Parts: sequence; structure tokens; C-alpha cells
Amino acid sequence: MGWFRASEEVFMLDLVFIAATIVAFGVLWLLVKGVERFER
Amino acid sequence: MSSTAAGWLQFALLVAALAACYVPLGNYIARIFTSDKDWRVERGFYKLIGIDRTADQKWSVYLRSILAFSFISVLFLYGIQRLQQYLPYSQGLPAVTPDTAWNTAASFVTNTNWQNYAGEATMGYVTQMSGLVVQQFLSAAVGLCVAIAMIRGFTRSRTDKLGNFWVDVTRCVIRLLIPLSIVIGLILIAGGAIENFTAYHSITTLSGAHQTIVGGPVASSEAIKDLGNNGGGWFNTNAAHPFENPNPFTDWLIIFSLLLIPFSTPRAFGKMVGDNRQGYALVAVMVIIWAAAVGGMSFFEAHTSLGGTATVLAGHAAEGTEVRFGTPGCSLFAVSTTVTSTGSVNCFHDSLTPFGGGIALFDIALGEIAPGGIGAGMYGILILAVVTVFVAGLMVGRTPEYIGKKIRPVEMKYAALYFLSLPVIILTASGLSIGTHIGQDAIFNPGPHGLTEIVYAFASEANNNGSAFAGLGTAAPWYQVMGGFVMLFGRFMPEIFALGLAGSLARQQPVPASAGTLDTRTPLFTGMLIGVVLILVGLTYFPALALGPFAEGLH
Repeated sequence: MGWFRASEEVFMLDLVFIAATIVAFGVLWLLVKGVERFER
Repeated sequence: MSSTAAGWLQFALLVAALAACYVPLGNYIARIFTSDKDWRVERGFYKLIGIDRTADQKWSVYLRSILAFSFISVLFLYGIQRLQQYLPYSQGLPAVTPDTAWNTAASFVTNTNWQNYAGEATMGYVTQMSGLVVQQFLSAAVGLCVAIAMIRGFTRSRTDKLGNFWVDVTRCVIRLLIPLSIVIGLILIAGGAIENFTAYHSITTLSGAHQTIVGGPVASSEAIKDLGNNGGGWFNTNAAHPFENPNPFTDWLIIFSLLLIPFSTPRAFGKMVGDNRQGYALVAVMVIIWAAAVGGMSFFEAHTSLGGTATVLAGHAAEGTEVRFGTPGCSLFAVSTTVTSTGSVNCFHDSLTPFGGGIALFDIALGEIAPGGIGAGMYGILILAVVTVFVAGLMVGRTPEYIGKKIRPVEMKYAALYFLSLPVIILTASGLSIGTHIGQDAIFNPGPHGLTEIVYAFASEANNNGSAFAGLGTAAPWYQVMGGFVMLFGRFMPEIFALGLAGSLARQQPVPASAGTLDTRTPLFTGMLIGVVLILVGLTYFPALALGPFAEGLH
């Protein structure tokens, strides 16, 4: 049970870091969009 | 021969070797990206991934290709590390912890190679080879692609196309990085660097202590680590480890490798814009700043009166220095690794004298344009050249032009955003770390030295250098997470503005040179560019430098 809880915690951390990656690249993607709008 | 004389001889040989490679390698780089012919292996690769090699991309599409490629790379590298225990040749090592895996993924994809772990005790052979080393090739190639797209902004007119990212990155890896890595790797093996897949050996020493002798395909990794200005060492002690850097010859070769492509890229620029003297002007700026930094750091590391009792007794700042290379070898390496975005080390930067360490920090703060990271140094100095002609234009009241393109307010906005992005990232992250308990908890050295360590860490990460002052608990979750974001934004935000500027230049019609055009091939322009570099960086980072290394050195 302890092992299951520990692995569940680690899995949640994996999701957090995957989400962090999506957020970081999402911000950069939006920045490109913003610069394109500025260009027009 | 004294170590000082050996150090200067090493420097002279380095300059001679780099000068000899400048023209042939620069011409070859230009040919790679201007040739219409594809190699068979390249055509097969394009077919495999479904790329139309003739379809040029607009700057924003080029950039989105880079972002998509890097996004997938971060997730892939994160996955490899997290599944390490199931991979062959993992040496019995467990999965990398989530925070370290994410920080490392962001680090290697951004060409930073900041390492919050001991390589030999954390990463198995397959993780290093199929994860980290692959990214050392790809991230280096991405940097050079951005520089080439930027140069196309000057060479093309009345178009919004800057080339095809997938073609550029493929050619860069296949035609430039792999062949050079094979040559350097073989020389390193001949020089004594190890290359094997043997398991770790536990031995008992003569004094009865137990020691683990590690192995690995180190030489092949070392080659791209330096050629690609990556810096992530196979071992925790990086290029101070005798298996990675066995002797003064390999030490020289490593320094040569990390300077080779960045110093040759201005030639490729000159060749592509059809005026080699433009390349000479930029490489002169790079050489002058690099040589001044080498001289400055060598002086401070050898000047015993600036150190304490131990320094006076040793005759030089010996703490943290690898005795095989001495302080001159340490100074040359430390400057070369910080003026490029390499970050590999052969001595402990935290042990540099305050002013010596200040020079290393200043080198990084320059934005690493002398000669800078592979590609990153080139687009950095091109934007500085744009700023310089703009300033010169203001002085004489004429419309500034550079390589036949007008520098209008829109181009200056891109240049300003490019230069503001890094200080904002570095100083905000440093401020948050100093101002919050969660950041303060990992500061082991209070006072000016602690401040230098924090600013150095974020400057190194944002500029994709990767060297560390150490002495700061960067394995703490705050620094892992903050560092990951700093590396990602520090890499890609400036690239957004650099490519935006390139797109704006490419759309323009070329302007013929007239009597009022500033000649950007002269020593006067070189001097002005150096002045702009020093003033921009000086004004931006002076408070941090004054409160950190200067305060410590003058104490």
C-alpha cells in the first residue's frame, strides 16, 4: 500500500512537470502570436 | 617552462589554430546552408518525416517548428530519464527524480547543460547516449539554424521566407556536427579519454578504502559536448576528470573545440552576405573581448596580493584548480567556456578570485557574443551590430543601414525586446530567490559571494551557458523548477525577437550603399560595436556586479 501511495505521488509529480512544459511552451507560442499581431 | 609561459603558449597556439580554420570552416558552413543539392541520406530523411525540402517557411512558421521540435524533445528526454531503470546499460541506477529529470530535460534541449546531478551516479549509459548526447547535437543545430535564418534576413529581400527549419537542422547535424564530432572524438581517444561500455568496477585501494571505477563512452560524448557548446559533462567534475580530459593536450583540444564553430561562423556570415570584410569586423570584436577576458582573469588568478594567506603561500589562486592544468589553464578554459555558451569546466568557478569570478559572470552577461554559443553568438552580435548602426545613425543624423537594410523603428523594437528579455528573466529570478524564504533556504554563502552565486546561476541558465559557481543549493525544488523555466524562456524568447527581426529585414527592399552609409567593415565600427556591447551590459548588470564580485573583491 505504501509503495502504491509513493508511486501515485511520483506519477502526480510527472503530470505536474508535463503540465509545466505545456505551460512554458504555451506562453512562448502565444508570444509568437503576439509578435505576429504587432507586425500586422 | 613556467606555468604562466605554458599558458600563454597554449593561448598563442589556440589563436593560430582558430585562425587557420576560420576561412575553410566558415566557407564550408556557408556552403552547407546555401547549397541546392541534398545528400542521399538527407533525402531519405525528408521522405521519412514527410518534409518538402523546397517549401521555405515564414519566420513565425520557422520558429513554431523550433518550438514544436523542442517541446517534443523536452517530453522525450524527460520520459527517458524517468524510465531509466528499464533501459539497458543503466548500471543499476534508479529512475531520475521528477524535478531533476525536468530541469535536465529543459537544460539539454536549450543547449544549456546545467547539471543538478552527478552524471556518473545518476545517468546510465543509454540515458546519456540516447537522451542527453542526442540533444547535444540537436540543440546545437537549432542554435545555428536560428543564426542562419537571421543571416538570410539580410541576404533576402521582398520575401517573408527564411528557409526551411527541418532542412537546416538536418544538414547541420549530418554535414557539420557529426563529421567534426567523429574527428574530435577519435583524437580524444588517442589522447587517452575513455570510450567503453564496461560496468562500474569496485576496487580496494592500497590504503584499504573502497573505490568505484566508472566507465562509459565518454570521448564521443566529450566531442559534441564541446563542439556544440553544450558543456554537460559525463562526470560530475566535468573536464577536470582525468577520464574525460586526461592531459594538457586534450585540455587544449577541448578549448579549441568549443571555440571552433562560433569563431568560424562570422566567416559564413561574410560569405553569405557576399562581403567577407563584414565577417572580419565581427570576428575582430569577438577576438578582442575574448582576449581581454583571458588576460584579465589570468591576471587576477595569478595576482597573489588579492588573495588570502593560502593564495600568497601557493603563489597563485590554487584553490579549486586542477593541478594538471594550473591557474593559466584554468583561466583560459573558464573564459572560453563562459564567452561561448558551453559551461564545461576544468576548475571550480566558485573558487575563482572575486574579480576573476566577476569576469566569468560578465562574460555570461555579455549574452555570450564573443564568440558566443553555436549560432546564438552570431545572432546576438548581429543584433548588437544593428543597435550600433542605429546609435551611429542618430549621431550623424542619417537613416541607419546595415548590410543594405534600413534599420527602422520596427527593427529597433525587436532589438530592444531581444536585449530586455534576458535581464528581465535573470534579475527577476534572482530577485525572487533573494527575496523569498524558499529561495533563501538554499543559499549557503551569505553576503556578496552568495549574491554572485545566485546571479551567476540564473545568468548561466538564461544565457544557456550551464556552468555553475556551485555553493548554492540548486538541487532544491525552487531552483530546479525556476531554473527550468529560466532556461526555456532564456533560450526561446530572444530567438522569437531575433527571428522577428530577421523576418522584418527580409521583407525590405535592399538599399544601395551611398556616401552617407556607415562603413561597417572598418576598425572604427569594430570599436563602436565593442563600446555598445560594454555599455549595454555594464548599464544592465552593474548593480548586481557591484554588490556581488566587486564588493567581495574590494572587501
